[in-house]
Amino acid sequence: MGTVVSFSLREAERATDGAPSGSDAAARAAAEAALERAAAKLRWVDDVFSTWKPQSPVSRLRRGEIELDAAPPEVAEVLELCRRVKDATDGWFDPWSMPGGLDPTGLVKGWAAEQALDEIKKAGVPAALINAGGDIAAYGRPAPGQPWRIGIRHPLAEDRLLLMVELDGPGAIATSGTYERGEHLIDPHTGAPARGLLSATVVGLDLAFADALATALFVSGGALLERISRLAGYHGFTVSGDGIVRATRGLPVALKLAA
Amino acid sequence: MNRSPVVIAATVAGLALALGFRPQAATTTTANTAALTTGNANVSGAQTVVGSDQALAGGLGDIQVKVTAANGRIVSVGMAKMNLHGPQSQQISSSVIPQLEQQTMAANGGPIHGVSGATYTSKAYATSLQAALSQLKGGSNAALATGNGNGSVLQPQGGGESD
Repeated sequence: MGTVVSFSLREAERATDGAPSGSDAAARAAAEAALERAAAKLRWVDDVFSTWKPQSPVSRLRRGEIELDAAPPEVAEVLELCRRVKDATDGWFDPWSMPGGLDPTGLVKGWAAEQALDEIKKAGVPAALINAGGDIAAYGRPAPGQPWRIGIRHPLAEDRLLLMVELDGPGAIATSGTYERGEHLIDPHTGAPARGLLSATVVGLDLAFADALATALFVSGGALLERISRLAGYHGFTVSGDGIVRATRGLPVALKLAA
Repeated sequence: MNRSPVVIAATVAGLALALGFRPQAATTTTANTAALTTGNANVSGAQTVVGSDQALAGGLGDIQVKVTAANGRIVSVGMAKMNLHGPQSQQISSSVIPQLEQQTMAANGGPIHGVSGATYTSKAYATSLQAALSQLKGGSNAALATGNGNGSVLQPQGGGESD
């Protein structure tokens, strides 16, 4: 059982009546080729970082069969990002303290999505959004002057949105919770499953960081909210079991009423 | 000025993505979300998508997703059916969440471009709000996932519907 990654790409404005032209067809072909590369990148990341595939470099690292320098350089790159998040979260995110050994999973999905989105961006697509199993990164704007509007799922009802977050230009949103896959989020301080919150969401510039921070915020039971509020460019909110939503100041939440 | 909001939407399904999922061979996921045309007389081109759900059956009961959109704009998101059981159903009604929901629904007149939530499995995705949104023709996302567990499916879909 895997997850699903969705892409949504925007093409440049057409100045005329919208009839397909040769350049439109070329842009379309370039975008489709970029999507293929993005998908290939995701598969590659899966092959390298999966803790479920016994022969993945990360699995071999976990078993001590290889040293870090024998793994693809991206593994060291990801672990460096992990170390920075560990420092920024006072150890609430700690891939080195997981049961079963090294487990950078909490950051890898967001990082992979950023890598995939980068393939789209490099191809010249003016705006795009990727949704990797509920974690979102985007750049550009969906339409001139419009922000990306992201609904945050209600943690108790999958058909409901809790609130909306707007991303004007590049940004990322990650949500952690146990409502989809059970108690899989581990408190690195105790090694036990984290309880206490229904969900934790982090909004920021980079999805690798947002993903890891959301995991940390969740397992901290919300204690990290204050810390995240002091990270430049990152916001967050939690939903606790009693239904209380706590958010960092300045979270770009859209609650204005429609006309 | 004519713009084409969607060039391509594509979906990659079946990725374990180093998420800690145990890969399962040949798990076929079929989106059992059925598109229904509704007779919302007030809104031209309105479309309702209903997805029946079993994914939460263990925790919350049976829930059906219902999204109504007109010309790609969401006009309502709600429950077609929700039979809750267990203590969480009481939590919902007694929480402050409904207030926020009410405001959010009111703000949903504009397009929604994605839904963020805890990582879902391919199976759960098929009945998720994101998948329902993705089925809306002319919507901001036009991807529909079908996946299988032993590989990744890339499904570029020519979109380019103009507003």
